Amino acid sequence: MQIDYEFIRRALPDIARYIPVTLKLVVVSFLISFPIGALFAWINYKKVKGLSQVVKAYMSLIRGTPVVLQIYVIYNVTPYILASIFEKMGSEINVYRLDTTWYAYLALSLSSTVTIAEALRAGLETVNKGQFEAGLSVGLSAKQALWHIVFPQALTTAMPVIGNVTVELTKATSLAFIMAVTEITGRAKIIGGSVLRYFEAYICVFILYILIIAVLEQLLKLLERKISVYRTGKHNYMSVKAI
Amino acid sequence: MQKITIEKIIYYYKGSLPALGTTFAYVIISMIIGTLIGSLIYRLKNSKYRIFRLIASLYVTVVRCTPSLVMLFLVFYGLPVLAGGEVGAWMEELPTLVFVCITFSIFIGASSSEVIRAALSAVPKGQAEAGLSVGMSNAQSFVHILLPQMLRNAMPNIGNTVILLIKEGALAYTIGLRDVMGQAYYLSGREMNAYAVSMYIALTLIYWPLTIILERLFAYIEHALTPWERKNRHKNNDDDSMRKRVVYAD
Repeated sequence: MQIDYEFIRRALPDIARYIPVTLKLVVVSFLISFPIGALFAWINYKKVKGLSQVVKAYMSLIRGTPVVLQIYVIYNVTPYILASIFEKMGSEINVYRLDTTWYAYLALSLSSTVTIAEALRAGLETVNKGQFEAGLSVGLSAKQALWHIVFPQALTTAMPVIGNVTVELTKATSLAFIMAVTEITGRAKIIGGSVLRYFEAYICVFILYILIIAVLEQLLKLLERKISVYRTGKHNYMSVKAI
Repeated sequence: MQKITIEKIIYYYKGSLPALGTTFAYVIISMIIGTLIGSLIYRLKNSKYRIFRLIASLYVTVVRCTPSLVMLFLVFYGLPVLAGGEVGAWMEELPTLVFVCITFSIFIGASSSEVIRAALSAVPKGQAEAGLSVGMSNAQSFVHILLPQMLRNAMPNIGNTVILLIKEGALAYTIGLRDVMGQAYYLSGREMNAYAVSMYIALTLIYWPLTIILERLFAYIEHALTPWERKNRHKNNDDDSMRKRVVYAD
């Protein structure tokens, strides 16, 4: 068998049309996992009784199982659960006709939630306790002090890890084709399978992922620089970096 | 909802557990080959010639940007095509395990070059020189002095990589590898996936404890390899408790 360059040339634009689906998977999953991750981080940081144990067990479970398994469980089990809930509520919604993309969002956000929670908790722990008290002393409420003072500083520490999570999430979207979501990997599988040119089709996906992630990393770098404004003792940070 | 029965869970558990052998086989093989690739990349990264440094950083960037599923497919479908001719035909006959090992070796090659750099930079420079000064050759001082210390420094990373590999390897069932996941899918497929939920529970009961045990094991190894830290930690604790006691006494 020879490599069919003509096929690659024709398939690349066709597969590239599905980039928005991939990006949507990344963005929505991230938007789901970030607030939940922040909540979990807060629960673990404050060691809320009862809740913190539940969160820890959840995190250990998600970290201890392969993503494929999580995807299968979400994809095959949640519809049954939702159906039985809707049935009890007497609702007319037919869950089996729901867009499978929703399951993909849910399944992909499971593991990023855990990593974000862990990163933010570590970030919160690096913020000096005095920062919060300083906020209170100038008349902010506890909520305001947390939101405007403690959280941005925790974010600066957590930012590199969150950047990694985003990259990992982008790579994990390639698994969405298991859930019948046609994104770039799924499209490559379809057109590769139709003429049995899998290798050429996956070469296209390979190129596209490298491009997407290269752009993403530049964006993350920009964002990180923007957020580093909130870092305490920025001058120290700069001098450390210079060394 | 499908019925979940204890018998079925036990059936899948017992059926898939022997396949752990395959899992460990590719983990160990790709750890070894991957580390060799990683040391090569590390050498290239510190090479005098710009072209070698460029190749090394290109390799790391490209591998880091590729989802493991895509890499798995590229290796599985691509290597026979790239080799072409008789070699390609011979390759297509190879067991899937070989392709899985190649894929993960490529991945570990990229990540381990960083691990090696970090592990080596944590060993004080004088250590290698001390080895030379007592008359060891370069190779001897590396094997007897640097390597043990590097291994200890890299232990947390090695543990993480092994756990990650076991989980990522579950993807390999898509190209037909019979590791734990693949075996469970095979068994479940024979029954038209009628007991899929029981299978998921069985798989969770295999993977979850396994990762917890491995985490503990690597933490223990690290602990065992760093006796002086252990001592320091106890000392620190004692200091702390002493200080507390003093404070309370006041």
